[in-house]
Amino acid sequence: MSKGEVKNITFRIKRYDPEKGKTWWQEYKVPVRRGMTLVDVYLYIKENLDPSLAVRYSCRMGICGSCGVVINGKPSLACETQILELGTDVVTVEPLPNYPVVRDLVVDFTGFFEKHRMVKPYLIRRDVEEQENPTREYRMLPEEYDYMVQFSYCIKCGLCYAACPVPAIDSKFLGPQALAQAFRYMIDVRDEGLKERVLVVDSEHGCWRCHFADACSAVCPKGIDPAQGIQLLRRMLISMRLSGVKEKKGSPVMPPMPPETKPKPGVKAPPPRTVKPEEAMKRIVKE
Amino acid sequence: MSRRDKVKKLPNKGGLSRHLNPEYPKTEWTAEKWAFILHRLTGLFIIFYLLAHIWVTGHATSPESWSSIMSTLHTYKWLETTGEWLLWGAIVFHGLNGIRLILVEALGWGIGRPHRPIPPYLPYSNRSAQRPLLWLVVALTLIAWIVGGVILYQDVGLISW
Amino acid sequence: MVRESTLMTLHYIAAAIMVVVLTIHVLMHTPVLEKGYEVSLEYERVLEHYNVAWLDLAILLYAALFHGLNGLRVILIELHQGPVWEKAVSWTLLIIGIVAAIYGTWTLIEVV
Ligand code: SF4
Ligand code: SF4
Ligand code: FES
Repeated sequence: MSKGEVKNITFRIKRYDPEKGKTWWQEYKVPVRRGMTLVDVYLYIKENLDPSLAVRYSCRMGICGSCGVVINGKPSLACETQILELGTDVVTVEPLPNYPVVRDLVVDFTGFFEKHRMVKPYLIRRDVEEQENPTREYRMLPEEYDYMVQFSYCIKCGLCYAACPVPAIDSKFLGPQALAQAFRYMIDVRDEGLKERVLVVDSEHGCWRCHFADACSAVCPKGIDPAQGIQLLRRMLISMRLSGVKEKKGSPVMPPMPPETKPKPGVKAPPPRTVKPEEAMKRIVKE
Repeated sequence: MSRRDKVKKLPNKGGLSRHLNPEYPKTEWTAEKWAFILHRLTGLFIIFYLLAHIWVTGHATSPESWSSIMSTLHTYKWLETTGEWLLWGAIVFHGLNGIRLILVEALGWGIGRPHRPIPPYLPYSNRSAQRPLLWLVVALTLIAWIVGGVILYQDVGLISW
Repeated sequence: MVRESTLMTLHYIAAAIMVVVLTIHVLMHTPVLEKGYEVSLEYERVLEHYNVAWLDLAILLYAALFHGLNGLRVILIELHQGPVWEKAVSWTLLIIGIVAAIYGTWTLIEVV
């Protein structure tokens, strides 16, 4: 399609009115240009067709994770879905399943965030003093970082939780997002909270209720692989069970910086710094 | 109204019926999701068969009780054989898929290693060795099921050539 | 309280064991080791099976009961949640399992 060309596309949107308790499908005809995302379509509808449509979005660039909806049967981010790339003349938009609907396309994430909080998604160290007033960073090798980093890219958009078949019947199931987060901290070499997190994930509605349907990984907009994380988490728990290991020692604090070395004879000394580190620090503090 | 009641009243709630409700969003049916459902149904079938089987084989203590229970079972021969054939298919699928699940779920095999996400984001667990293994499971199940069917039906004389 | 990981680790181990013992059990009723499925159900044959493969049958009995009933428990606690329901499911299935295991063991001892 050439630039500037306009295509008329019908949007079938599933709506819900909490006051009347009524659900219905409504159709909107929207002229779509190349590059228009579903968020742009929302704005067009609200400006020109129907101001009563309730939607949620914020960053419109796939960072805040608030705009998840089911587009043509697949949970996706509204802001990252280009309408013309879908290639259909009728686009259906529904609220995310597995969450209670507040109104129209807006769903209630309270339970989802509660589960996220349950796995303690933060670094736990035994030495609280060092953690609060750090002298230096904790040691982490690049390979260790690469192993864990994908799970820390999660934007809590809840698409994985919507795609998973288990929360649909088991409302207490922690869900792919929370379990992947638990795994992210359990493999973090700096973390010492293994015991606390095992108590949460190794429960009746924890990681054992995942059945590797792999739907979560198929929809994650950030390239995270929660299914992979959960299976590895399970392997970890089984080996912990068989070997009796219960605790993990976090990586140590880096040793202090080595004192400045003198340049080798014959090697030119570096040019003097334009701003002395202490002065820069003072300036920052003042600001 | 408590929060729980409120959630119950709202549309889009969970529950088994969601899968039957045509209005409900149908999300992402991966091959693994089908495998999970089949695994579950076959497992249910087998556990009830197992309990019945323990009871039936409990008649093996004397020739009389054995022949009486066998003749009861043989009343509807074709029904019995069809049940056995379905059971055979269920066991083969559950067993072969179970081997795959042990590899994947308990040993973390066939789903790749966590790595830095590289666009386009195609998750490893959807593409790694476990997916072809699933097709192998399906193929082997079908072969074993057909072979088993031939043996079973031929044996009771319901088919012959 | 049994930890979920204990149950599920045993679940996988029982599954791995069953792959072997159930294969043997099924093969004993096929033309590979017998003249045919129907022949293998004659009383003398059955007695022979019990005497030859009693160990296989015993392992199969316990592994299958544990694996199957634990699987049923998983399905049931996913269908409905609540402390009372979960306790009831666990205890009912435990009792069914113990009764079935005793009955199966009794059969084995009687026949062999
Ligand atoms: S894991 Fe992916 S799909 Fe799930 S909440 Fe995080 S970013 Fe969203
Ligand atoms: S892999 Fe597990 S968490 Fe992910 S969709 Fe499947 S059942 Fe849900
Ligand atoms: S609007 Fe922020 S992720 Fe879509």
